[in-house]
Amino acid sequence: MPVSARADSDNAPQGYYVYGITDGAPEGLAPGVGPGAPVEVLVVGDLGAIISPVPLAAFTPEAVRARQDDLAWIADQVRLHQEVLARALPRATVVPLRFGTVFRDAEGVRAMVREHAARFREALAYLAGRQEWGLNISVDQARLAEQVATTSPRIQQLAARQQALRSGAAYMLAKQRDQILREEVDQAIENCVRNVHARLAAEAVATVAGGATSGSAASGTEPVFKSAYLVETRNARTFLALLDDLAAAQPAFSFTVNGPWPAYSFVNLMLEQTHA
Amino acid sequence: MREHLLAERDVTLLDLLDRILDKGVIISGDITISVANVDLIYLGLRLLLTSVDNLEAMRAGGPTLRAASEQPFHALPSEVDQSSALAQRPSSAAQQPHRRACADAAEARDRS
Repeated sequence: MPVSARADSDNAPQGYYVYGITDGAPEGLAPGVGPGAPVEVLVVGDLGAIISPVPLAAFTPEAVRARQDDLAWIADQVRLHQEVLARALPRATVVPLRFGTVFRDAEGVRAMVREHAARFREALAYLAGRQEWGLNISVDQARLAEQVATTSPRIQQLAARQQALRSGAAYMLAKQRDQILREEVDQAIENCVRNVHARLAAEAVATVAGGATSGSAASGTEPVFKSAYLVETRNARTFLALLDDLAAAQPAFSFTVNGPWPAYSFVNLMLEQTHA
Repeated sequence: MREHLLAERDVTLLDLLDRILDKGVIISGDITISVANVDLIYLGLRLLLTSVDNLEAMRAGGPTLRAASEQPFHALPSEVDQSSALAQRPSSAAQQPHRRACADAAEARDRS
């Protein structure tokens, strides 16, 4: 973990930040990350905890609360957490721990790993040879409306009738057409999302769909869907190629793919620590 | 593009926050210190990010925001000031590999 207060913390009490649990002892984990806080693997039997020393003072509830509006600091910590796990990923299977997991000492880390070893082994076996990929879908509403207007039989029919009518009746018909267009656009979004997710899910081991979508859309588009897929690493190329094809077939939608991630979205474990 | 599939995918700070602050194994108990407080940070932070993001989008209404797409996933910058962090967004439609125009699904599948 990054240590911003490093210079004056040489004598301050140190704890251990734990990034994740691994089944090997990956080397060269994170050269250059957090100078003065080398990332290492604490071996506990057949498991390893990916850790780095941190000054405990930086992670007390008070210290964390004081930092909670400090976006730059949070962003740095989050990126470093990710970077350490990402570097371990090609070398070993990793069960990521929640951001901000800090132990007072190495013995605490060992006790935690020992107590939950069975669960960690189970999770590692499940995640071995698999990767997480994220997908955000957003829609260009105007473009989709245009597309629907030119392809929908209902809209086409209304447009044809409209031309044959006098202005008053044509106006009413135009309103009706707008209403139908809105419905069909919504339907088109739902169809696209449902179809894309189903096709991708068929290639994935597990999926997580939904959650907040705001903020991830390309400019001029509106986020409509967000999901994560756990994919066999050997099938990743096929999975991504499928995604390319699905995206190409949906010009009014914007697909943003990210990964491979450590399997953050596929470890729903809450482990109660009963003794230190 | 297909040769670089595994390295070049869009990732935004928000994507990162969504995963890292909200997911992963939770250890609870006396010997951990700060886990319980992280959700607090996350909520406040997410709200901030979302509102600034929307504001930017409304104001810009176009491609003025810096694109993050060229950034290799494993080489995120470690130095992030507030403004650039907030500006990390997916590229505009034209730059997106997935926004290839036309081509129907069948044709696209045949190619691969």
